[in-house]
Amino acid sequence: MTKRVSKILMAGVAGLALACSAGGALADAKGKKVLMVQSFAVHPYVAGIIKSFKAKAESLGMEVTVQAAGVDAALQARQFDDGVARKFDLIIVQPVSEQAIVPALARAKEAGIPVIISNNSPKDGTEALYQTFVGQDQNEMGRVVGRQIVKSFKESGREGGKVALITGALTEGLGPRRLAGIKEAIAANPKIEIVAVEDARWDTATGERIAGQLFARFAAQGGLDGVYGMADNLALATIKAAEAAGIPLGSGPKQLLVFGGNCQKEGIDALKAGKMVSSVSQIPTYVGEKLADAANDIFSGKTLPKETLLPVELIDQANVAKWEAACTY
Amino acid sequence: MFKSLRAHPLARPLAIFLGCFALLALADRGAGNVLSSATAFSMLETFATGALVALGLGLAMMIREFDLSVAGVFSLAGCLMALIGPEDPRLAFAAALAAGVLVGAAQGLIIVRLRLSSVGVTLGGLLTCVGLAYVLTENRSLPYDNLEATMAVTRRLWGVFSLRSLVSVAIVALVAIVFGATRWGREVIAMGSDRRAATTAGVPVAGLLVAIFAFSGFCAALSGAMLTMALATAAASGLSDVIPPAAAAAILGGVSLAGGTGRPLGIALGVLTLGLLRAGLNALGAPPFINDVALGAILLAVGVLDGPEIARRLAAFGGRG
Repeated sequence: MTKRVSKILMAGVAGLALACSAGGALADAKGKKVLMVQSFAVHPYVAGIIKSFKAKAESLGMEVTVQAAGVDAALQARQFDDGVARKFDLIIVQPVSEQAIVPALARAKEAGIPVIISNNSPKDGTEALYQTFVGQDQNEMGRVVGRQIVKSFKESGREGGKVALITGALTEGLGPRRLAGIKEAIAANPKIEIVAVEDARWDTATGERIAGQLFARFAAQGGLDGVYGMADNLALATIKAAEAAGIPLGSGPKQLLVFGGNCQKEGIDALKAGKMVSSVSQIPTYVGEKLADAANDIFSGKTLPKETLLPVELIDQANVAKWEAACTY
Repeated sequence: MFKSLRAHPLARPLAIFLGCFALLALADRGAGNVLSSATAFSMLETFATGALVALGLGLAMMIREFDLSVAGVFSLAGCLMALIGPEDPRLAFAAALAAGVLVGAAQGLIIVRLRLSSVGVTLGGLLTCVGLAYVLTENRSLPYDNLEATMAVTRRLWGVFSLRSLVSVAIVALVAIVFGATRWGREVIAMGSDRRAATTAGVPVAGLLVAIFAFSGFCAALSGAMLTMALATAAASGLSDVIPPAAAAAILGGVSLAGGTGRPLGIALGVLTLGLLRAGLNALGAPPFINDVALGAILLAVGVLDGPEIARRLAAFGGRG
């Protein structure tokens, strides 16, 4: 009997402690002013991050202000510095340029304002200037596709072949990281040759033009075996150019294999139609919610790891149904 | 008295600046967000990035020309700064400024000698400079690894300035003095109003055009080089979109695309208005797109007021009053 009473008491105390800690976290975040400095507020992916972050952060009691700078690194640094001057409790930044934001990060540290880096990987060696990075391992996003290219070439009966990469901006940031990952993984089969790396700066129209030029350039050499579009819009641009050039698409021996980057609705549709071999998960709502969780943890006094990484998963015919809803934003 | 005040070239840019300030202060409702040193500092930092480019472009517009190459020179100068590196900042600055002056002067000479349109020539200059920057940087962002120097040029001085903004203020002030106190100011306005008449009157039109394009190149290069120091990086794609705000600032400052109007101080007020809008709306926590809407509305209003029909009606109304 005494044991039972003590068990009930202990459970009660544990429950109370849990409730207090949850309440404490809420109380800690309540009324805190958070500045989110974004890149393209109107881009569907970025808009998805902002919307999900705001919803969760505001439900935890935070007051959220959002600024956006497009691709203007100087303007983003200005918006960030304004946030430091106005003494926000926390700043979340999705760097337009991982290098140009460094001086502003240093000023935030000097002012004692915690910073979370969102989605776009921070510059190596700047770990002391921020609390955590919430996003995906961009090298891994490249490696996943590289492994898939090796596998798909084999499954389509090719010993090796020619693959072209149509990339996002290679100046810095995500582009070079994904490129390094894909090169590393493709190296597993030396008979697969990367015959072209073309910078389309994430732009669909540029991607379509580049793809058309690549098809014409390699037509005399037996054509390309595969094309990687670093984001799904670039893979879609490749598909359009291939269709215009009359090149068959699919995953068979005489078909062009097209691989996407981060999943988008149009990519999922192409995947289901058999025009694209695979894509990779990158879900804005996951990033937004994780950012809110990380902010809440910081206000609760928790020390976060330098990387809060979201899973990177290959999306192909086998699991497309699982990702369809999440990739539709 | 009122009429002469209204006709003053600085009256409109000053009225726009004060009007924006009053509206922002009103929207702030005494909360102290707009009327703060943080807003003033932010405004002057925007000034530091945009004022020199706007000044060069504005002077070109005053003589009825346009300099699209400022964006390319701005990027190229930043890349040269980072390539030569922080070990020898004086050499890096000299190389960046020399490149700017050379590009500007070469374009001016081509326009004068071959009697070509400045838009076409400077578009070529823009593409050449950006292409050169891509080749030099191999399409990579370059770090300017001297955080001490970066912090020094961006550190707050007397609450609202930084070294970068002080340099910009000093150059604008110098140009304003030269423009107002020497014949060059009158010659620029004369050349923009009627080039043939100015030539007949003995204005050295060709020399002035080359000098203005060379100065525009110098301004863009200095601004780009200072921004590379401030952001500790350089990229061929440019670190900031400079042409649209520079043209907007010149127009707000009373410069007309038709030439022959405007003053350097007016352009400076135009840049300050842009900086004030950006900093003030940020301070009020306005959504990101509001700044573009507000700026667009002001430019539209200025454009409409510049229309000859409106001017005629306003003059008639003023005459009745």
